[in-house]
Amino acid sequence: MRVAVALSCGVDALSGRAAPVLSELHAIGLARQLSADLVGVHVGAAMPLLRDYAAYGLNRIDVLMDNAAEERGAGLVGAALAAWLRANTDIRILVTGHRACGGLDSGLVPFEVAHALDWAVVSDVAEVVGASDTEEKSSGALQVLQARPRGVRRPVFIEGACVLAAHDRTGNVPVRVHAIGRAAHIENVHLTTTSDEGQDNGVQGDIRPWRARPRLMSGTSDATKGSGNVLVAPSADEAARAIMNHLRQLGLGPSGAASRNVTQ
Amino acid sequence: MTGRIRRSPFAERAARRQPGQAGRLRYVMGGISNHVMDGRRRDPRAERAYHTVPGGAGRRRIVWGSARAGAAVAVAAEVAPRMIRVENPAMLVLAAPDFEDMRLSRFDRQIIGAARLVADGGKGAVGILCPADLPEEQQAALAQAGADRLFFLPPGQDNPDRQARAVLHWFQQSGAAHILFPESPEGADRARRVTVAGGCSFMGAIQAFSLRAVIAPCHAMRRERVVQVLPQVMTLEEDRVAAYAGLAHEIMGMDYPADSERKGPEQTGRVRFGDAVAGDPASLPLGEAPFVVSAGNGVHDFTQFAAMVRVLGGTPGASRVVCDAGHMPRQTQVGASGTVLDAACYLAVGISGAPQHLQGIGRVENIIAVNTDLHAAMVARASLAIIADAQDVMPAVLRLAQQEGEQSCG
Ligand SMILES: Cc1cc2nc3c(=O)[nH]c(=O)nc-3n(C[C@H](O)[C@H](O)[C@H](O)COP(=O)(O)OP(=O)(O)OC[C@H]3O[C@@H](n4cnc5c(N)ncnc54)[C@H](O)[C@@H]3O)c2cc1C
Repeated sequence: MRVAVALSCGVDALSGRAAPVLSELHAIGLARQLSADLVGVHVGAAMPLLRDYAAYGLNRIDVLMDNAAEERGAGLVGAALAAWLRANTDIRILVTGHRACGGLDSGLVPFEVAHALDWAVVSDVAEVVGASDTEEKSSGALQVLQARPRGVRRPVFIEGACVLAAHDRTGNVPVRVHAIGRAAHIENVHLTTTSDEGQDNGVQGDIRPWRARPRLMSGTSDATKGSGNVLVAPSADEAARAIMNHLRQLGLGPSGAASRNVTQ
Repeated sequence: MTGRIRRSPFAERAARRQPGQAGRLRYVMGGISNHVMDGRRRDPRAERAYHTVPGGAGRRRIVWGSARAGAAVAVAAEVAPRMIRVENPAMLVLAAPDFEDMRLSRFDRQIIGAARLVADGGKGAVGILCPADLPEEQQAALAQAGADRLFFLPPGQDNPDRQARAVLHWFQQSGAAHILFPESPEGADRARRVTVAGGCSFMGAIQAFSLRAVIAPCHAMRRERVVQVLPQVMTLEEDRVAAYAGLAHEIMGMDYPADSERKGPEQTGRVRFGDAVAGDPASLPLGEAPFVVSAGNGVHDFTQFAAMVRVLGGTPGASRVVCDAGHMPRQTQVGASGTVLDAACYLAVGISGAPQHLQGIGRVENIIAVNTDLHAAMVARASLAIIADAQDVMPAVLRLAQQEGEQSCG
């Protein structure tokens, strides 16, 4: 089974220099859980940064030189990827990062690809649990875990071809081997996408330097004062009971909901 | 002509003339008619106060004119409706809150607030997409949050494509101008599915929202994109728009999905969600853990501490002093140079609450502190503080928790 990984070639948020995007490294990690036969794919010009990505375990990277995509910017990245996947029928799974880091960063690409190909799409994937069938042709079911806030994991069952978007914070980064990056085969592929393919999601707007925008005072700010329930020098049992009662009110503790469905 | 009232000395004089005793004329120079140009000087404040009557919606109203309509207006204000009705909206704005646990969260209210903002700018109405089995009292909460219409979605939470199709169906059917989602994990996913399925214009993770422009970061948060014409589909970050705080709106319409959709043939169920499972607290990454129990310099017995954490079902954390001393691994450090928590509850045992440590728990709502020092910063921040020796409290908690754990199992 062949698995493709979409690479965006982002920039570092602090320095602005080209750097791998963390969630795309997570994506490579996910892809390696799925298969050993990986191929990276990047839309745009070939960059030295691609070797950095390859060092995490990609033997081959296809660079899609799509003139139309370059002229008209994002929105067509999805279309280019879809066209490439149509041409490579042996690939049934595309793994992407959470969102790009250096472009429009809208997070739409995985959804666009899935829509164009009529594939399934799952976002925030933290881990692959199992691909029940390696021969993929016979509608092999795939089970992945989706990361939800506060450590909750939700199993997702997928049938058929799919796009998996990695989570941006949780995931595993594979070991980086410089020699693999050096040896990787980076190839330019020319695609002919029809120019009306792929919707341009309309809004362009002005681009200007980022500025921190105010946030509302969050609800926790009144907790900052503390509601001031102070027990001074209670007996140990009294203290323990107060703590346990407080935890129970929050649905925590040994009999709480949070620990109920946990397998220890 | 100016609108100024001119004095007419003759008329004033005539008004003050009264028949006196013994057929003499008498002029009463005090005020006969209140506040109508009696003294030499006007008293603008008194005039204003005199003309002010209570108006609708608890606001004051000033009625200029000779006759003070006070009483009548005040009565009218009493019977004025306490709900806002939007009967013939010029446009419609949809909001799709998450309704996590079938409740309207703070974030959800903010999304409805943003929709309200857009709708009020165009004399429009706000429609809410909500699950069909939403409890009654949450519908009242929706009215309070500023909703005018409800659109119910068919059941089937476990199939995201179907959900997105249902949302898109309402969006197109109702002819709404915009639809707003929270940029939460669920909302972000749903918004993007709707966008690609409907071919809509889209802007995600908006940080500044107004009727004139919406702004979202791009280029790795180094630049931002400013869009003047509001896109069709928008997702907003948390705490960027205030929730609606005005008078409650009256819910004027509810739309239910067509029966065919409600039963819904299971079309293309390619993605199916299973039941969410809470992570194992002992091995959860600290930043994700819902309940963290942390040890500071006031803890001496770390074996006992570890036992207590395990029984309470928490994730272990520590202050820097403890990590530096090697009592706990470095990954467990909470604070500025450690991990910033997203927990619902934090139990701090023997931690003073240095600023660098407090930075790590800025978002935690419930803090329990065990400390010998009544004046520690952590005690001031805590919602429950126990001023006692940690070495006494920990075994007591351990015992009680074990008892309770056995009871709930058996
Ligand atoms: C650049 C920088 C970065 C830092 N980053 C971090 C960070 O990320 N995280 C962090 O935690 N710290 C950080 N620190 C260190 C921080 O300033 C404090 O030194 C540290 O948090 C103190 O830890 P503590 O509260 O455990 O210890 P202490 O300050 O020693 O406090 C111990 C507390 O325990 C109480 N106590 C004592 N005995 C008992 C007992 N028997 N029972 C109950 N209570 C008792 C005391 O009353 C006291 O309040 C940083 C410091 C610097 C300079």
